[in-house]
Amino acid sequence: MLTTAPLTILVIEDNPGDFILVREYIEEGFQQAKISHAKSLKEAVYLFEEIHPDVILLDLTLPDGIGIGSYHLIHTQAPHTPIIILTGLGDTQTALESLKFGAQDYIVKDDCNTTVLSKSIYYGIERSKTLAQIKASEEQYKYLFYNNPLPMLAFEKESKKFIMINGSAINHYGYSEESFLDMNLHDLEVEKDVKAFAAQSNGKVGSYSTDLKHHKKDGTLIDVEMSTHDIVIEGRHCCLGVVHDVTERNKAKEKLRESEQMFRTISENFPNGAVAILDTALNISYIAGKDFHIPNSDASYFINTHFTDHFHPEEKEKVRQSLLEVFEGHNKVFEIRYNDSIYMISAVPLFDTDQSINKILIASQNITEQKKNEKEKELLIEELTQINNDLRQFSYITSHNLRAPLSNLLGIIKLLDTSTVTDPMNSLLLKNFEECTLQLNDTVNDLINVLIIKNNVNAKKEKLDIRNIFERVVHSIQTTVDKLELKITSEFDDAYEVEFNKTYLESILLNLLTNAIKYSSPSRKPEVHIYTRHTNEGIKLYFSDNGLGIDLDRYKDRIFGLYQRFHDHADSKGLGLYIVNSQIRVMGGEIDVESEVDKGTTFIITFKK
Amino acid sequence: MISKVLCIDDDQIALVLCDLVIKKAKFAKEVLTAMNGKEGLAFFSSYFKNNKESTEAPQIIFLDLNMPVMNGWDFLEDYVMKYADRLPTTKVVIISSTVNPEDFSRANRYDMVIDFINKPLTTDGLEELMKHDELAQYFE
Repeated sequence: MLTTAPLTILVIEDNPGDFILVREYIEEGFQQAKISHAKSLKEAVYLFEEIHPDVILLDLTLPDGIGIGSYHLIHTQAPHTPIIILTGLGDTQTALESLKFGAQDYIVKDDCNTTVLSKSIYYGIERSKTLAQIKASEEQYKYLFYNNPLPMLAFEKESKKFIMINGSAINHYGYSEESFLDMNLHDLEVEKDVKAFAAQSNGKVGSYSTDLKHHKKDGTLIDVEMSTHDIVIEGRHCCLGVVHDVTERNKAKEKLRESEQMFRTISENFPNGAVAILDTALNISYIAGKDFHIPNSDASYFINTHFTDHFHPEEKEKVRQSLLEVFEGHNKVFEIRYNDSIYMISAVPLFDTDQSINKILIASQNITEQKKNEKEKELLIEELTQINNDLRQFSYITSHNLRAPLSNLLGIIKLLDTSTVTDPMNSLLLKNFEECTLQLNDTVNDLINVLIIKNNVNAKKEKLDIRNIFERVVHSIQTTVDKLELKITSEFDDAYEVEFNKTYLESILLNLLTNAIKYSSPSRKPEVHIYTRHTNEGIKLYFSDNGLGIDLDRYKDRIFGLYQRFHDHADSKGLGLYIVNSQIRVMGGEIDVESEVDKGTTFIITFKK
Repeated sequence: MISKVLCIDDDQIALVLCDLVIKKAKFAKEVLTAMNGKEGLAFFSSYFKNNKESTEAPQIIFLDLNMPVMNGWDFLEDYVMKYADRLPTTKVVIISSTVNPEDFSRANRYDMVIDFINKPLTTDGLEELMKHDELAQYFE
């Protein structure tokens, strides 16, 4: 016999005669078999618990059970034990029915013999084992399905109606299992995919669909790829689909594509030059741009060639040395000549993730035009500086030569004792001579002042207290102030400290004050009001008088100009406000004026922050 | 009072005025003149050739800057090299009509240059100069 271990067989049979017969057949077929006998279902259940038989032979006509009911009772009790039905001639219908519910075989008692019985028992046991295995593997597959981390959908091949859904699909799509089972695959798909998928999957055992889009329950659209296989579930032709959500992957791909596109756009449109990537051997592995230094060439001319080969022999080594330094991690910028053109080459190392440098990026730019402009500009600046210096020297010499005889005249006047001149006419002439000389001296000095202010942009700035400076200025012309009964009021509050040149500030305040005196109105007592305010631009100083005023509609644009005179006044040379403006401008400040004829004038000086 | 002053200036009128003013202000007893830097140097050269005592050298040189043949700066360069060490008490006052700011800063670089007076030289200017630390001793 094939089976080595002795079999335990439970025979459930109430007819003693039949039992004896069956036992004989068994014993003949399986010499070492252990045979237990139950005469009723009740006894059988009891015995089953005790012996756990390898196989059960069941008569369907028992005192406590008739027909298929007996089979169900025993099968429930021993679901994994093969059951063989013993039946009389007239009851084959029930026996056939029991096969449907899992009985292994049936034997008509009248046909029974050792061969038939042995074969049936043997097959029964083996088949039962196979069934158990199939069942186990089915369980495993179910486990794999339900617990698979990828969403899995089983649907009917024709209707596409879902019949099995795993947990991952439920999580991923957001539909509950019940909802899924009410839906079909097309409910997930977008319009265009429905047809395409149908066409593609038709008549194929397995397929892989890419570029699909699926709706989730919340409306978001996801990119999916789905592999499907035909399977039969409970007799129905179905498809098992495994869904790969590739939304993130596609997004990353798209980003990469975009950045590549951008890089291409930038490199191919690189203005006035080209960008290139070189390997350690200085071979060009990528190049693109709008201007290549070799005439009539394009990117394809350079690709996979040695970068330094494209320069004249005398420049080659310089280029090579510079680029090799880039491979040591330095950024390099150098200029290189090719025929009549000049290129600026900037090279930077490209670090790999392990910080090694196997490639460098090069940007070359045609700077011929810039160089030319630069050179022209330099020449122009040089020329202008020279002219400016010459002019300055000229003005110094002119001033000196003008002052030298003038100083002699002044010296003579100082020494001249006019009291000894008795002739009235000579005395008058000498007096006029003296006056003319002093006037000439004033004019020359004013002009020289202008010259020096213009040329002295580096005049020292210091922190000054306007209150002190103003007091000193008033004091210096105190006699005039007293004589004219000039009323001076001032209000500085907290805005009195400015950064300015001391001499200039004194000169400015003195100029404004003497102007106020010179151009006071004969019809009223002169008044001057000076005050300061903090503003966003800095401190503003307001200097107001009640004098003659200036017709600004006519003179506004000329008021701070050279030799501009607005009043018919003997003392006026048209220099004062020009000097004031120059001194303020050279210190980075501003001056403005408001005035009304015969009301007065206000000068506003802004000391910039 | 200072005993001896040397005026170096190419302007004849300026030299005359200088002489008059110095006398009027009782600044110095004797006024010597030279018409340019070269003449000024010649004065010192002959002075040392004749082995004169250093006390007889001028205590003050009034020096103009713009002069033909040899200007004031070139005179100063040579004077510093050849004579300054031997005449420690002789001081220089620049008298010029210059307006070039560079001249003022350049004058500051010489130790023996004690003042810079804008022309014309006047009695008021000389009276100011008499109060100078280096010269006060002559006017006590």
